[in-house]
Formats: sequence, C-alpha cells, structure tokens
Amino acid sequence: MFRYVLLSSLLVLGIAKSYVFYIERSVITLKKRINRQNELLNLLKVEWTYLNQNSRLQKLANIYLKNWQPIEPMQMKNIEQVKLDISNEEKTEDIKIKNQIKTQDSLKNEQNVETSNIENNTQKVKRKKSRKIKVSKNN
Amino acid sequence: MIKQLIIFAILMYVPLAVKLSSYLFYKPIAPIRPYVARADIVDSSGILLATTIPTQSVYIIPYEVLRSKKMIEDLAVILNVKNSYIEARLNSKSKKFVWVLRHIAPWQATEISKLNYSGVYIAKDIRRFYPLGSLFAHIIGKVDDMNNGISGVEIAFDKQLKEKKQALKLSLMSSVQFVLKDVLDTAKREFSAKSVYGMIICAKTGRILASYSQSEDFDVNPHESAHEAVNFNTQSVDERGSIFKVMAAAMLLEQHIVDLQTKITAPPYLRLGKFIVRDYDKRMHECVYTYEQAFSKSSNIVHGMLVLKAGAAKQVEFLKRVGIFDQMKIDNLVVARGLYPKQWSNSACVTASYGHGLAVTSAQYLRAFLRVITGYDKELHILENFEAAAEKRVLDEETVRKMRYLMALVFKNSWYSKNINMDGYDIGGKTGTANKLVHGKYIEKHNLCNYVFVFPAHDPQIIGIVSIDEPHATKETYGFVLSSFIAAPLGIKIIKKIGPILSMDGNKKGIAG
Repeated sequence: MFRYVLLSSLLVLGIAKSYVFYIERSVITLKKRINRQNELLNLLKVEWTYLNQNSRLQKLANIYLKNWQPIEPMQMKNIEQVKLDISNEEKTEDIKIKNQIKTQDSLKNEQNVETSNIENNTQKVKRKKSRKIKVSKNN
Repeated sequence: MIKQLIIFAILMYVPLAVKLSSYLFYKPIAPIRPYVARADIVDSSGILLATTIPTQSVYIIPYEVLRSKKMIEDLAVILNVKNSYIEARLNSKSKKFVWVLRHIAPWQATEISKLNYSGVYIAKDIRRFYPLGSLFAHIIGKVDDMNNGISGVEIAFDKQLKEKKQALKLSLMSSVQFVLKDVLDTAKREFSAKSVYGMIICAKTGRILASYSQSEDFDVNPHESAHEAVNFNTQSVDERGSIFKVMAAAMLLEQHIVDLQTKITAPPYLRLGKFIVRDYDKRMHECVYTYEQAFSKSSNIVHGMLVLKAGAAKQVEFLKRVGIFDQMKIDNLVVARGLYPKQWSNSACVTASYGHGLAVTSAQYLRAFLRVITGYDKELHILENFEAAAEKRVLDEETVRKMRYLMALVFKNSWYSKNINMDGYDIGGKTGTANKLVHGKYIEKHNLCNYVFVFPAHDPQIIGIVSIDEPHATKETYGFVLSSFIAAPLGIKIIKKIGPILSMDGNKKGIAG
C-alpha cells in the first residue's frame, strides 16, 4: 500500500519536474524571440535616422523645395514682445485717431471759411484741375 | 471507506501521469547568455548617434574543411574577395577557428549556408554603427573589433556604455552640428586649408552643442579603417593669436589700469631687448585712441604696454583663475594640455597679452572665454545630465558688463559686419590671426585664423569658436590671409543659420547699437 503511494508520487514528481523544464524552455525561447524582435526594432530606428540625415534632407529640399528660403533671423520674435508691441501700437493708434478727429474738425471749420472764397477764386480752382499729375518713372 | 478513497486517489495519478509523461522526452536547451550589447549614444533631442546592430560573420574550422577548388571559388565570388585571400585563411596557423570575413550582408550569409560546405559556419555577430555618418565622427570616436572604445566619447564613457543598458544622452545637437559642418567644409574646400575645426556651446550651462573637426576625408563605418580620429578642438595645441586680447582686456579692466574711455598714446613699436612688437596697422601711433578703439583695432603695442604696467604676477593669477593653466576635462573627455613659458619675463607677458608665446587648445580657450563673459567658473560639459557643481565668482559684474559691451563694439566697428540684417542678435565677435611657428620661425602667410563669437551680447546664450588652419588666399580675400576675410564671415553664416534653429529672438535691441 505504502509502496504504491510512494512510487506513484515519485513518478508524478519526476514528471512535474520535466513539466517545469518544459515551461522554462518555452520561457527561454520566448525571451530569445523578444530579443530578436527588439534588435529588429532597433534596426528600423537606425534606418529611420539614416534616412533622416541632415545632409540627405538638405539635398531633397534643394530639389523639391527650391522656392523656399531658410528662415531669416528678423523673422523670429518673442511672443511676449509681440504682445507688448501690439499694446503699444494700440495706444499710439488711439492717439492717432484722436489727432485725426481733431484735424478733421479743424478742416471742416476751414472748409466753411473756404467755400465762401471759392466762388471768388474760380480761376485758381481751374488751374488746380488742369495741372498735370506727374508720375515718376521709378514707380 | 478510507481504502476506497486511497484507491481513488492513486487512480487519479494515472491520467495525470499519462499526460505529463510526454514532457519526459524534451531535451534541455541552453539558457540565455548574459550579454549586454554596448549601449546606444543619443543626442539631446533623442536622435541615435551610435548603436550596435546584429550582423553575421563567416568562419571556418580548418580541421573539418575538405579543400576543393570549387569551394574556394564559390566563397570568393560570394564574398567579393580574391581567391588568394581565402587560401591564405585556409592555410593559417590555427586549425581550430579562423574568421574568413566579418559583418557580411544577409544575402551572402544565406548563400553560403545554402552551399553547405563542411567546416564553413556562420556566426551571429554585433557591430557598432553610426547612422549619421561622419557628422559626429571625431567627437564620438571609434570602436575596435571587440567593441571597446578607442577615441572620443566611446573611450571616455567606455565603462558606462558596457555596463548600462540605458542610452547615453549627450548635449550635442545634430541640427547645429550640421550647420557647423556645412559651413566649415565649404570653407575648407574654398581656401584649401589643412584643417578646420569649431565648437559651439551654450553660455548658460556650458553644454557643448556642436563640435566639428575635419582634416582629411574620414570614413567612420568600414570595418578596416586605419585613420586616426584626432579631434582638433581638444587635441590641437596652437598659439591662438589676438583672441587672447579678451583675457588681457578683462584683466586690465578688473585691475582698473584702464577704463573704456581712457585715451592712450601708443609708440610706433615696443622694444624689449632685441624683441620688437609691431602692430598690423602701422600708422596707429599717429592718432590718440581710446582703449575701446585700440581694442577694436586689435593693437598689440597698446596691450603689451598696459600689461607691463599690471605686471607678470597679476597676469598669471588672472589666467589661472580663468583656467588657462589647468589640465582640462570635459566630463571624462581628456583635453590636451597647453604649452606655457617657463619664466614669465617681460617679453613673455607682452606676447601672452596678444596670444603668442603660449599655446592652448581651442576648447580650453573657449572655457576661459566663457568664464570671462559670464563671470562664473563654469566647465564645459558634453553630457546632457551632469552633476552641477557650485559656481564661484571669477569676475565682478562691472567688468563682465564692460567685456560684453567691448565684444559687441568690436563687431560693430568691424568692416565685415556691414550690411548684415542681424541687428536683433546683438552679436559680439573677435578675430584672431596667429602666425604659425615652423621649425622655430614664424613664416609669413602660414596662419591659424580664429574667430570667436557670442550672441546676444547683453545676455549671452551661445558662444562659438571657428578655426581654420593654413588657409590660402583667394580672389575674394584680395590676397590676404586674415581672419577678418576668412574666419569672420564663417562665424556670421553660422549665426545666421543657428539663430532660427534655436528659436532666438532676432528683434531685440543691443547695447552697442
């Protein structure tokens, strides 16, 4: 009785040991496969950087992006400086608009004065109209 | 009851035994060898600079080989070598293991294994590969057959690369490096120079952004290359010339021997025994110049005169503070030590003020310049993540401010800075043309043209130095071999391209403008 139990338990333990062996083996094969795939992934990364070399991209840009120019230094500006400049401009624009309104008002007053003179000075107006407009050739 | 249970339990073992018995017939396999491939090297934006890639190599065991003409021919044809090479390999001394050819292409490996010759085997191998080619060749260095570093970063961080799996992150930037390489390569071709080298660093932290050095065609990837990879930035010890006047000016301003606006009357020449110092501009003694103007005209006589007033002790102490006499290291990368005069006589003082008589590498000069421009004792770093040491003050704020103003003024007063649309960058720069010593004599027209630049001058972000060794005059330089014709335009081209890359604001107002 006892012998049967002993023998069968030893048999099962031996078989369990080989099962563990099998599991370990599959783990090793899986790890090797993972390492291989990681190597290949690294190779893809290497190919990507090789194809993204600055010199290669420069050549391609010279062929396909002929009309594009590199960025000039004066084109880069700090965003906060831009905000400040806009706010400064707005302030000066307000002042400008105020000045314009002032000048318009003064012009209206002058026009009221001038209209009385125009009827007397029609000749002058005619001369103004008949003046030729000179257009410079360098426009 | 108990008996029945026991019998039942025993009987349960049987199907389990049957199922598990199939595993008895599995053979053991070898475990994974603990093998850590050499770690990657990566730049500051994550671009791969160096990796190990798996390859295949052919080897033979001469004991097992059956020699035949056909085998030799087949192998020679596939591997694209001569028959004599393979015969030599077969006849080699050791009979147990001989490499035939390492790092062959995959198609070659499959062809050879298809042929199935006895004694010819294919092994898995690893190899170091640099995807960006020769862009970072000299600073990263090379590796030998056993993947041990030979030069540059590869040897400086050899232990770290072998033991750790994590990629080594450097502070270099490939975009900035490409700009530097492009500009320097065209200059080398244009002026048919012996060698060109340059470095660009971040002024705030001391990180090296770009370091390029080129003396002849250098191929990084073949498996049998014999060129030496000499990085001229860290290994070439030469007299630097007028760029040393920056150090002299800093010392003079700190000791309050001169102020920026003091008027100076210079003699036509300085005599120290049998040694005569002259200026390039031979009519300088006819006018009275302020110190500012004398500095922008790069007058040797004025600086020599003023340094003699200060004395040798103060000059040596200042140069020590600024780091000219140290054995410099850039984070484990060793830099060549300079050559200094043994006794600081009057003539040694005078020549050191305008950059002759003592020789340093351009990396060491750049570190000194960094210290003068920022006022703290900073070090150069090539690692992105370095241990920041506590910084001591080297110069007081007032002199630092004056030096920054001087650099911007020199640039503004120079002729090569006209019609450049870069007022917003507030560039400061100094040229330095050094005559080279050949067999103890200074030869005319054999110069080392340097140009050191810093921008923006009121708050330095970037510092750079460009050196051209033995350029030849061309039509555009009107026969002159001076830095203002050769090296300064390069500096300007570099700044024009680097500024937008590093998104620097090009619309600020400067201090000298």
